[in-house]
Amino acid sequence: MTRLDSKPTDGSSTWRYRRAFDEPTNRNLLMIDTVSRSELKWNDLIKQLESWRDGIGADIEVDLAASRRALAYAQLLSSIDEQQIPSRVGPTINKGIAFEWENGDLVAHLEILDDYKAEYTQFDGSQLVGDAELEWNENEQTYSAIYS
Amino acid sequence: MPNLNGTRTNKHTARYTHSVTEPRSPIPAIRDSETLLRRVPPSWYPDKSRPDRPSFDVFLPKRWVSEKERGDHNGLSVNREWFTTRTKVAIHPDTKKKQHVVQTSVSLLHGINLSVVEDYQDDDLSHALIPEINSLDYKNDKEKKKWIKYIARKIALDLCEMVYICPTNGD
Repeated sequence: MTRLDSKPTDGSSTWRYRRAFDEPTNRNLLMIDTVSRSELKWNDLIKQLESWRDGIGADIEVDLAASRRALAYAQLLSSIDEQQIPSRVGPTINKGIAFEWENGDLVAHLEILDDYKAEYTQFDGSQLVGDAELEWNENEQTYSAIYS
Repeated sequence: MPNLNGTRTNKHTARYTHSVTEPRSPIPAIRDSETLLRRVPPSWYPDKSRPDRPSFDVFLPKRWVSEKERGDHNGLSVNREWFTTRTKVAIHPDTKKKQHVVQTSVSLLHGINLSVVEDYQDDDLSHALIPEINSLDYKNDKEKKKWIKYIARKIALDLCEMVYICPTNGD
């Protein structure tokens, strides 16, 4: 999963968005219930992303760069921990692609806008508890926050 | 009151003359009791844990990209049910494919300090806007952006319901 906790990794204002399962305390917080979401498999999801990249089947227009990044990101996540499958993936009104993870009242939402930019939102019930603009860090293969 | 002749100098300024050629009814002011509709792309529904609700994305403004692509800079689009139907709203004007439709009401939005203003178009009398949910604030003001996200989630969770579910293929 995307980094859904938010601890600074150093003294700067740049916060790294790592994966929730890197943090044992967050493991239960944002683990996906694979039983209830068994209908959504990584293979299916990746095929869906491939078709959107190829301009097929999206209900709204998708930016090519965003679709490529989303596909690469999904492949990366699936290779790290297949349990971290999103509960929803879909095109957004901004021609991007959104990944969403849910656990109870917690919702983590990552909208990939193009090759580098993304936006992160997290809710606990109706309360907004996370909001950040992200940039893809190619060296670390993860998103870093521009602000949060 | 002189009659409208149907010739407009712009969207909101009708020319009044005494020679009646094509009477045209003015658009009634938006009332608290009105129902509002909004299209929901298939991938934004259902919200997995709340099957009767859409995702909060539905109530986020389309982003400001540039002066040429200003997104929902005037506000979030909705349709007044008085002037349209759910099935008509469901049809995307560009792709002509059907999408889902969600409804809320003016009174519910007023209850969370949102306003609704008419923005009728020549080809769509039902069009209205929620000005507070706009791409300019979303882009320029981080606190307002957070508030917009909060409001979008609030509407999606508590203040709307799905009223039209399109066929799977959207045709």
